[in-house]
Amino acid sequence: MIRRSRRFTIVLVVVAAVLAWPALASSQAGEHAITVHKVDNGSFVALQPSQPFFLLLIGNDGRAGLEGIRGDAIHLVGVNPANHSATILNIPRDTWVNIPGHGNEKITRSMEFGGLQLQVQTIAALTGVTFSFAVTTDFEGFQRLVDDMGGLEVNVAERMFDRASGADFHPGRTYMAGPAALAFSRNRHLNGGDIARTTNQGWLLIAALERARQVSHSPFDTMRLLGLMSRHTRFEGVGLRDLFGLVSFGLSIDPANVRNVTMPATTGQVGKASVVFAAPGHQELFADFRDDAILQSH
Amino acid sequence: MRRATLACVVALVALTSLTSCSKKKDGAEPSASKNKDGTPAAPTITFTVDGVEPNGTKPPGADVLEPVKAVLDAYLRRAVIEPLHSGQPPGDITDLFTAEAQTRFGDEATLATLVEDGLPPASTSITAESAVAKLSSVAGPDGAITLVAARLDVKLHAVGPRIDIDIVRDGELVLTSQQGDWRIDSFGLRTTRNTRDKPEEGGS
Repeated sequence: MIRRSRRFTIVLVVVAAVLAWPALASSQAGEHAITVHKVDNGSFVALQPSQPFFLLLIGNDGRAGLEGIRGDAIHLVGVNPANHSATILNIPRDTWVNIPGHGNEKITRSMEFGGLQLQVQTIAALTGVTFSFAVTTDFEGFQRLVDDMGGLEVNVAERMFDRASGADFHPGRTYMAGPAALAFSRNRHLNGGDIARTTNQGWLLIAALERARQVSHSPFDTMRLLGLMSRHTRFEGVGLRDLFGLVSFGLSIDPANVRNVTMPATTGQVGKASVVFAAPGHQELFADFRDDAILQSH
Repeated sequence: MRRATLACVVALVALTSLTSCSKKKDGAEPSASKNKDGTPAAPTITFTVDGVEPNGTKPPGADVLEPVKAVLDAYLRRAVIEPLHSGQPPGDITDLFTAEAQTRFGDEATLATLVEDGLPPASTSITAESAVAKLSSVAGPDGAITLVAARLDVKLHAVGPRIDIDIVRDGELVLTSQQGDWRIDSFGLRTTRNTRDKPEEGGS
């Protein structure tokens, strides 16, 4: 069995579709690296939804030989259709929370205890946000998706050199293929540790949106995206029409109108475990986020 | 693999049959038929389906292509050809659209891209240099095809006592199937009109 090194996966995309990419056609059909799960009874059939809506994107560490999948990269995406803007709210995976039915634990373990459903429930309880869709992708899926997109261009804020993750980047705008993007998203040997890493994952999401918008200009392009998703995604309660509306809308948002914010947090210890505690102000941040998906006071 | 090949063949046969059927009508001259009141009927112009992209999923068969083409042809006839021919506003076309798509009808500029309205009657002739639809479909994981995009390219020449005009309509429609009932769910069309020089007709 592979040693569980809490290493990490990352995320999915602004919209699951945004990461799925044409070259995915070269991947093996039938693999389901992504799951799109409809959480509530909401619908995105209207191409111009008027009310703010929320998605939960989770990168899990699932891979062959690993027992007990954990939801490591946790990103809430709030979209405000009226303003054509979005906010990515990042939750560090080691955040110490109450997991319904399991007591206090790291939030990442909620998926291990009860799958995507319990993780959604845990995050909803923490933040007060009602999600319409939850999207999860695994370790392998992430690299393949980034590669199939043709890579991403990410703004690296600080020098990174980390043997554990393989991250070796200089500051500045940097092209990353799948393995490099994964290393960037996994590296926590930074100023700010796990909290900074979580923020970096948010930047990857925005880079994915930028990339998708570069090559998607019409409903035909969106159909191609959906074709790829259809072959590589498991849909749970979600129809193609829903996804078409969601992806079309997601692609209409200028990345400049997407904010990337990480929950205020501090690091600490519980027993021998390194954990992250929600810092003062997090409740106000969640309230600001969930009312209209825009952060007015942060 | 064989199943996929067979599916492609079936789809191509279905497509060919639709295309050949349309080609007979595409660009048709004004028909000699008349309306019930004795006035000349609008000409019959239908789309030629010029290819289907299944996007790596199950290609659509006739069960999808035929109703999709029927909606596209009905849109062309009722929203464009008939009002152009009569010079009257188009009739009710809401049955061709989903409720969500209909919410955009309230915007006049948007509606103007969708329907022909406000021109003098082109009762002499309406011919189509082009009436082509390219299709793009996606099958869900269950194999069901519930979404088809159509890229339209329509070039018309319309002539009447007070009009001689070239009209180009292009853009994309997205159709969805709800319980087998295909309707237009979203649209993004452009229209350009160019009037040809026409000799003055006495005394106007």
